[in-house]
Amino acid sequence: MTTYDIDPANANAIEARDMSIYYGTFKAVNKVSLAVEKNKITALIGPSGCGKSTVLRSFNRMNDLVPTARTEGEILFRGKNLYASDVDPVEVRRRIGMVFQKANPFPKSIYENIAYGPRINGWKGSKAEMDELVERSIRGAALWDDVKDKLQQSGLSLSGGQQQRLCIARALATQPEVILMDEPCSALDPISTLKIEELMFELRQRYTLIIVTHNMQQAARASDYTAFFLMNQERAGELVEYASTQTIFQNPKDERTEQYISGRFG
Amino acid sequence: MSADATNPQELTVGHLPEGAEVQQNIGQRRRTGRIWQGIFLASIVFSLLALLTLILDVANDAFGLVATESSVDVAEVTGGRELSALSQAELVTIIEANTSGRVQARLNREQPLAERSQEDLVGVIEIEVLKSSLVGVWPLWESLTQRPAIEAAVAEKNPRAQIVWRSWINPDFLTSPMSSVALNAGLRTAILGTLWVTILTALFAIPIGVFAAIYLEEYADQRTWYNKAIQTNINNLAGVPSIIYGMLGLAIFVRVFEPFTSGAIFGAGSGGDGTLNGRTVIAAAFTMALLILPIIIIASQEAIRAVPNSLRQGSYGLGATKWQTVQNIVLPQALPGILTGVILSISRAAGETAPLILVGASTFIVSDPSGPFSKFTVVPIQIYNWTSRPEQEFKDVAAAAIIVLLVLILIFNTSAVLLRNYFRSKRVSL
Amino acid sequence: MTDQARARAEAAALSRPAEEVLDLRKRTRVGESVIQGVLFLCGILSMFTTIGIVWVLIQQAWLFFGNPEVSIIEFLTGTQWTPEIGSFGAWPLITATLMTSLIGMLVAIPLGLAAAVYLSEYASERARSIIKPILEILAGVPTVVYGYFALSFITPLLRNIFGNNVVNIYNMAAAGIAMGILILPLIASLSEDALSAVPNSLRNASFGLGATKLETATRIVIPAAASGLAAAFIIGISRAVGETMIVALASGAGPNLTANPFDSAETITGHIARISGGDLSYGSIQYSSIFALGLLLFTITLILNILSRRLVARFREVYE
Repeated sequence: MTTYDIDPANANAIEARDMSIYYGTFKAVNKVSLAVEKNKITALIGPSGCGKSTVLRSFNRMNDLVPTARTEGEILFRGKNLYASDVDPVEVRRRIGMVFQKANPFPKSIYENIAYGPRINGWKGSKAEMDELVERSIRGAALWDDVKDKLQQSGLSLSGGQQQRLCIARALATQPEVILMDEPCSALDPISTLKIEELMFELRQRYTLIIVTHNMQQAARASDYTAFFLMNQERAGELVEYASTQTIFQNPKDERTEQYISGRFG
Repeated sequence: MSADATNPQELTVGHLPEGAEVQQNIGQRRRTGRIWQGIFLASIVFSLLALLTLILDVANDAFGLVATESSVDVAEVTGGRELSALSQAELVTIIEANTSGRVQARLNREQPLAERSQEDLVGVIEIEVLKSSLVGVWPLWESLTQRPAIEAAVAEKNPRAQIVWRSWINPDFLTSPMSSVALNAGLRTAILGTLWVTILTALFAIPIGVFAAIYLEEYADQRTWYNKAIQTNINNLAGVPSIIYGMLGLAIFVRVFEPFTSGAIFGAGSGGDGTLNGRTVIAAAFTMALLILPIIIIASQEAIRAVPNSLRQGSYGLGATKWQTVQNIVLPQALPGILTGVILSISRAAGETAPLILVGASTFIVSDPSGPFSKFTVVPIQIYNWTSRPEQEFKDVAAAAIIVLLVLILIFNTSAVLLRNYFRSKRVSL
Repeated sequence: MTDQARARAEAAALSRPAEEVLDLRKRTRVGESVIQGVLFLCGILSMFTTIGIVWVLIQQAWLFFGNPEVSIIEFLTGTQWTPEIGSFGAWPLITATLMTSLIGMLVAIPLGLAAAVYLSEYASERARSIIKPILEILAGVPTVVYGYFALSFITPLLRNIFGNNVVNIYNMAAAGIAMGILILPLIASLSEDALSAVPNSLRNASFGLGATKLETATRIVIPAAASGLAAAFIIGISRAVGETMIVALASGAGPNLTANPFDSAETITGHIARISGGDLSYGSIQYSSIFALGLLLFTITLILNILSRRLVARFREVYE
């Protein structure tokens, strides 16, 4: 049972319909229906093991990388079902970007880290145009002032928070519409976390963000909409409640949501 | 721990040491511990000693005194001048004047007289013209410590003999072809053979091995039966004795593929001594490539496996295909490990002997290998041949060849270890 | 412009116009398919090697045993190997192989295990970083050099110690000792892997009870690593059985059924090497006899290797 009140005037950026995910015979996620609004930040919260990351990764078909994974249901993106048989996952991932829990910059220079995505996707243009694309991506991640003089240095030479912003810039470079973030701040200190949350507010102007977070306070302060997940009796994740963040945290309709929010269980 | 009330001295149940007993017990245990620690350390020391002894033994044979005796006087042939003072042209004249046509033909086949170095020609004269022969050979240690005794013994038995200090490894050794006379024996043919075979082996084995590893680690669904079979198969092959690979090479590459490996279908000429068969460089290279293939695959697999998965995920997340990820992210990261494994395999291939005996490395060959379809010999085979001869002087020649081989292997292995250490310090730890 | 505003503008410039048509269809990536095909072929090639080896050995062995002069019973139980008179009993070769391998293991296993114990339980990081490369160098010496060493140093040494009339110039003991030194680094390295795989928590528990390092090493760690160690030893045996050059040079050039290690005797591998180094006419019974011996050798080493891997798998199950 899910309850949500999405502004009907706002188009959905991406929507899951009756999505179930299996690993072999084990059902990990049970019939999730979730319509994510454009240009908003949607947070997925819930206790560990309830399938939030699996749901997130289904949006850009990263689950395909696991050999035993199987998905039922649909994910609609701009009117197309991403799980249709004629859809190429590689194409999907260009348009729906991802930032991972622990920053994973490539062992290349900062410049090359950013240029990698466009290049492998067949980007064509002059060096000057690539320079510009790189700069714009880095600026978009609010990292330009930190690295503008050391673009040739290794991406690994940056601090943890900077590395994560580098990964965000890397994702921006392929010009996605939706950006998925899997606990992007869990490995960072509070100050870096704050910077990334500020960045998320900026990115929201032009992108749709879906983030998974363990940190309820972060969901409360940094997101527009929140989806609360729980494991059911068969240990499959289910969507319990989905509404505006304000509603979820101040006036949840489901009792389980209320219990989780108030810390009765975690 | 109750003592019997009637007899406090007797204890009816077991007890742990107390009081002074504790010190004694611990002391004894520690002593035993130290003794065994010494024993364990001694076994490592033994290994070092074994290595050292081996090196010294080789060196002992590779240098020493030799006594040579000529039946023909030098002065007769040169008109009183020293051999070393003569020019190459003059030396060639002397040879042509004093040896039979058959001998000259043989010498020219080994290497044209006109192209030989001065030292080489002097050596030829000493053997062919002056009929110099070895009458005594002494190892290094004895040469250093018992010189007077040696000189006395020689003076008694062969008064006309000369005693000279000889280093069996010398530039002539490295540049001369084979010879049935120890003093003239050279390693050149074998060194070239080793180079030819090793390089061709590398060309075949490295790409196939690395690609197979990429397939197994990145593309293959490891749960299917056929991929598991391939993996098991490779693990098994790594443990098959090298001589079996030789038998495979003999039966298939030398015999069944003879038209190809002998070069006949390409219209290649004979191998230098008139016969055309499959015992050629390329047959050897195929055989050795199969031998080291499992080793390269396993080492490369480990290197690829060590690449953190987070890097792959980052690449896929950006919309890269599998090959793009492998080519741009995985391979560069795995390269040092792959390189180390490759270098060590090549080093192994350079030192292998048994498979090449079966594939038909020539026991006596005087012409340098000129291409993949030539007959060949390699350094380890030469060592085997020379060591098998009963004469001490051939053992000395073998020792010289061993030095060459060990230096080669040392260079390979050291660079592999340095490479591994260098890249280990720059490892990406995510 | 503030940073934020600039970031906003940059983000705007970056994002895609929404009216663009979305085409997510699968592209035929020819390059990817070709590459995958090539890689698969390379993977398959190893199967051909095995098929080749098995085919070649069996085919020739078939010819060999098909020959009226030869019978399998005689091959496996006969005590005389003299091809000239048609005797093809492999036992002299087998016993020589067993004897040299046994002597080799008597050298390699105690010393290798002791070295491994020292490296894994006692040595400091610095000591390990010095000792391990040296062991690797020892393992890198080509086998033909060890053969030379056996002949030119070990045999004279044995003759010095035991007397010239006791120790033959070619004898199995010298070959066995050299083989032991050759295999020692392999056993040390594999044993050390097995010992290191034992979790530290076991060691800590033992120390916590007041045990010394020796007691912990011998009563806790070694038994815990038992199947891994057994696997290492079996690999060593397999290596020894298949070793050729040392025995070809130092052990002897003629089959000889004897239990005396100071006698000369030819092993399976030494015999194959000697026969094929000479003139071997294809299709002769001598030619196919070496393949029959090869089949025997292949089977023995295969069984040993499979056994060893089963042990390692069982060992890993326990600790991972």
